[in-house]
Amino acid sequence: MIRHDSEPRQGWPATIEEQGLIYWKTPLPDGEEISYWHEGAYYSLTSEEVYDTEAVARLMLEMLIEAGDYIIEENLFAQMGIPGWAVPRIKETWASEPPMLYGRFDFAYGHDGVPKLLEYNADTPTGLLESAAVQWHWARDVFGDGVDQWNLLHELLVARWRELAQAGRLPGERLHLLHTSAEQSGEDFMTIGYLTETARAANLMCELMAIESLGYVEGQGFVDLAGNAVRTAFKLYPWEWMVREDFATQALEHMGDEAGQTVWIEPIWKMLWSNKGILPVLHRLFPENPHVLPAWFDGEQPATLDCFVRKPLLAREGANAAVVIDGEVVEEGPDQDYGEEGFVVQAYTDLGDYGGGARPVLGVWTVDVEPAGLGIRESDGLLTTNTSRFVPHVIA
Amino acid sequence: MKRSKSVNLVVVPLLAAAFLAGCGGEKETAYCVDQNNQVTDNDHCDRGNNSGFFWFFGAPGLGRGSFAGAGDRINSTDKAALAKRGGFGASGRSGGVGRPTGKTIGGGGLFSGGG
Repeated sequence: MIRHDSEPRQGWPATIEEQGLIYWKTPLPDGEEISYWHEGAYYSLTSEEVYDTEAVARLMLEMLIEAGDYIIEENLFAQMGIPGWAVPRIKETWASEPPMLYGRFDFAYGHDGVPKLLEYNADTPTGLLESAAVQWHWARDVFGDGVDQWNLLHELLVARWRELAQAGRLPGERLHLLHTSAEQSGEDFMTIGYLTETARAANLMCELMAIESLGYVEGQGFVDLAGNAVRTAFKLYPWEWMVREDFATQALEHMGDEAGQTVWIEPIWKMLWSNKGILPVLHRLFPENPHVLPAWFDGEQPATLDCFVRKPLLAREGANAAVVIDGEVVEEGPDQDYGEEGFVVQAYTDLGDYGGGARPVLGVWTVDVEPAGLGIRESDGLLTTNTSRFVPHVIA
Repeated sequence: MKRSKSVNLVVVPLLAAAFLAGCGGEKETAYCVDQNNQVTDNDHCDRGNNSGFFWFFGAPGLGRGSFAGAGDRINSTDKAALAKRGGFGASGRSGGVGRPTGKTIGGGGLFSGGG
């Protein structure tokens, strides 16, 4: 993989905004703004590198299934900060397999060329629109129709909705897509907006709504603002929050595909995979695997470990994470009060400097259980956080 | 070729424009209106058995007696108005699930808008 400088397209901000990337400006604490979309550079991968990484993603999914079984057998829920009242539904849906849609692996890809799993965003991954659509159009604009990119996201998402609908697994007249209106950059809204695009292409009727507006009627179940039953809900809102909110009991009790119940996408068992506790579990089960970094629940790591990243079980975007090198904290993510549920410790790995201090993380997308594409974010520091940049890629 | 054959965006540009125009990010307010869409006391709708009154969702700032204009309205006796709402959404720590911007705090409440 090589990083190249590139000439940005004329008028690119208007172009990407029209394609839905309205949240490309990232405000910094000092009031400055930086661009999250960065087409002043791109990465090129060889076909072989793509096929190798794809094979790693497939292997990871198989290992994750074993890891899920292990968590249930060993009853590690409390250690992972998962409340007991959510456990019966997690176990039940893990066995019954209600519809799931997508996820995103984050891999380190240092100069040894061996992808190493940093985490799996299995419940509410974002960065979807820029991966599936914006970088796709960028590649065509810059390199022409013949350009290749690891990016089957759009096709596979449409195909997945169609498959689920045809199998009768999306009950109700329409698919409700829920976002939180507390997010005001437009990122969450446009993520479900893009998913609506893919669902419409599969001939589904869609309705976008704020999760805050979701209603519950005793004896009838969840309803939208017009009072229509919400039978199938895609929610861009993590289960780890939902199970601690007022409607948790209703959601847990009335989960399913019958009248008065709701099918939730992603399913609640994704709490097993999106939790950072999955990392020490994978290490425990596959200690020799080169794609699994050594990791422990905090407190179980060897005393000699002095280069590591400490991550909250439930945080996102590097929040409340800390990088420790030779026993000293060298970098910390933004403080967002994560960590009360506990931490994991993961051995430090070098992301690799691909030029000018740019350190990439490979976001490898999965649709159902198929590797579906790549979105690269790079940062100047050691942690991938909210100030990281999305940089497009091609296969060359 | 490992690339989608086409990525047609039909809804996304519309949603993006709507959001930038303030629809997606702004809170909506619920008004109780009569048959003529004239804003009236919320009491008329809150009772839930007044069939001549409707909930109307629109931008904040309309006073009693003003006209709410054309738009979706919901019969106040409709079950939607009887639903318990706001049971999800309280945890949105730094906003949403995407990149935190530090711009916003807190969750939404009853009748917040979304597009």
